[in-house]
Amino acid sequence: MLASGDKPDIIQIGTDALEMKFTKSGLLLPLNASFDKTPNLQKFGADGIWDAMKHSDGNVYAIPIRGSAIDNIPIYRKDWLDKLGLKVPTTIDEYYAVADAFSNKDPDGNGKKDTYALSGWTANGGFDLSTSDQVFGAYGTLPNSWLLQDGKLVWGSIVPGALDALKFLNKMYKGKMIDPEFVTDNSARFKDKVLKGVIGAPVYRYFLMDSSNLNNYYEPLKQNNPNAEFVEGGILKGPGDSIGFRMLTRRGWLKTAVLNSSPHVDAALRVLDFLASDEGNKYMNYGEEGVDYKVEGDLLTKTITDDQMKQEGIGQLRLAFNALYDQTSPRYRELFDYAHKIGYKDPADGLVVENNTKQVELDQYTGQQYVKMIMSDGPIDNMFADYVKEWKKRGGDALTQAFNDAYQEKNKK
Amino acid sequence: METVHTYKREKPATKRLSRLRPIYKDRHLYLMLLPGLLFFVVFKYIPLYGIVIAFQDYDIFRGIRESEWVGWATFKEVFAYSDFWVILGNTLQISVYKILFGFPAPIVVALLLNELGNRYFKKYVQTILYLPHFISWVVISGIVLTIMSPTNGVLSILYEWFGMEPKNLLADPTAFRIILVASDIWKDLGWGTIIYLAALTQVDPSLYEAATVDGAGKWKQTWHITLPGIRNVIVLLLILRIGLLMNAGFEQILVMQNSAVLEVSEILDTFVFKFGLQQGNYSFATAVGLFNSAIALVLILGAQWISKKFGEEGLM
Repeated sequence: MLASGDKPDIIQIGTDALEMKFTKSGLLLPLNASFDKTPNLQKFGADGIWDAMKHSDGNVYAIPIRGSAIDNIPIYRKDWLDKLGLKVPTTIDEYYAVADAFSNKDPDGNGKKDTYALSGWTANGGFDLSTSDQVFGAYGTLPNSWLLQDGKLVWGSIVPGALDALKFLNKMYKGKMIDPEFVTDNSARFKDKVLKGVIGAPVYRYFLMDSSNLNNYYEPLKQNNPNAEFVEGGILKGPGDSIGFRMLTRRGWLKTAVLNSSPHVDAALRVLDFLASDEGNKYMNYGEEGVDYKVEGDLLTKTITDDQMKQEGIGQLRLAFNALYDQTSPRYRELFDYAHKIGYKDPADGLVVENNTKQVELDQYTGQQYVKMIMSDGPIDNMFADYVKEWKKRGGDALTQAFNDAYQEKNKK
Repeated sequence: METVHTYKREKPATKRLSRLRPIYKDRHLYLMLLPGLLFFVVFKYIPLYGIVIAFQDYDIFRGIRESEWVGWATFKEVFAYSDFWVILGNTLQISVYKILFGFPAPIVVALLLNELGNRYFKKYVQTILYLPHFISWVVISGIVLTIMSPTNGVLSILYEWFGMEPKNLLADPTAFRIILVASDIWKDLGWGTIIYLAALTQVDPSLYEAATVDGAGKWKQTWHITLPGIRNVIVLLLILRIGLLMNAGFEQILVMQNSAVLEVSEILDTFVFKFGLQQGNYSFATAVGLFNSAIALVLILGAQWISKKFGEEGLM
């Protein structure tokens, strides 16, 4: 489409890097300039989204997709806890005891050592470090996320707390509480293991517990084992100050923008304004009322299948995800609120610096070194020291400086 | 005298005509060649123009004509990447292993199949060997994960029989390379044998008869008749294979690699995918691609030169 020279009016962008590139080349239309003509759009991001999207020139060029600001919370197999006479852990030591029991005391009662407390997954060759956030959070850090210490941004992967957390994970790994496949499984296999009762105390999607099965987690779980039940946990108390679970960036994983060169700028803005309204949002996510979904009380139920939705084009160009889950089950809303309560907001969210590719590179390096330390047979203090030194050398120091500069700049205003 | 003169004057015209004559004679063949040539010009030669984006700060909306020229800056960025030389080393190492073990495998299998007496059994085996070629790497990686799984895989049962602790081999750097090479051989073994089996039918059967009369056994026959008979095909395929040295298996590695084995499995193609294409750095991706092609060209010309030295035909 792009190669044909026929430029679109509205485009959707995946990464921050691409957004920066297009903005630098002056390709995108500043949306805030016409906010008075698009009141719905203005309202859409009034609660902080526009702040996160604002560029150094004060303009907003793209609309991020809006949805749940957090995906993962700590969850525990309630039926296993009950069987073993344990409670939902509140401290890191209690977590260790639960993890040990889940892994080595045969909670599923089949006489085999085939259960684990924790696992993880790999996507695109990189290990997803958010899968052990409860342990890192207990030691006051989150890997591959920024922390605010004394008014300065510090990278959560290189602080001393991270070493303590890694030692804890290493001990868990040696005690067979972490699935040996934590690094080789992909997210589909991980999901499968959670739903089949191999993993009992992971950090995972809170929608797992929603009985309305909106994201298709609940029913498969019950199909595999009717007694299976998950319960949400809280932030674990560690030796120092604990922090919560990583929240997603408000910049979103998909951004919608209007091209400067478009001959139909007004029409494009009208479309986006409609999509940003409650009506448009519902229309894009669920389709037509009475045809594709029905409303009972304040609950919304889809009346067509996901495949039919796809065929009708529902959900193809949306600005918010599932209409912000407003119309689902009461349990869902409860979990949604709870997850947001225990979330940890990245203090650097919305800050964008040049050369974001560097961060991708450093994150990949971190994942690689962390996995080595978790799986290590010997002590890991020296490995961690080497990792920190190398991280800084590879551009971590420069990145930290760049982010701090951007942070100061933004807070000055 | 005059006749001679006339003859001389006409000579250039006749010569030109005589040059064109064979072309005219085979005009139908040339006509049939045309679509193939057109394919290469349109899809292979004209797109070469796109190489210039390696020297630009390429912007998809501005296009090739309006993007800014940056000279060798992108290449400097590529070579300055912390792990670039490790990645290049991985690419070569994995590829060399694949050639070392993967190249002779179909030859051996073809020789073995060739000796089979039962024609139906031979076809049967050949078909089974040939099937994995049509399975995508994503599926094969799923199969490998399932076999290798230390919790519920086939291998974990074997470990138990021998009373050993199951290990996650896919997270072991040494084992991972072996798995890469082995699964690659398994996938393309059958496909590779087809060409050799075809070449084997060209070997003159009377040579075997003569050898049998002279008292040569199967080994001697294979060594002195069969292998020399298909030598030119082997050399040709080896040259072509060496030209692909920089392609260490993008799809396979991308779906199978993980953080624990990243340092031995990151290759140029996966690197380009992650840092070039996924991040929208098309110039970066093109620069690495161009570097790749330059090395491949040197390799293929080198292999060609060596094969000529040994008196083989080669490609050109």
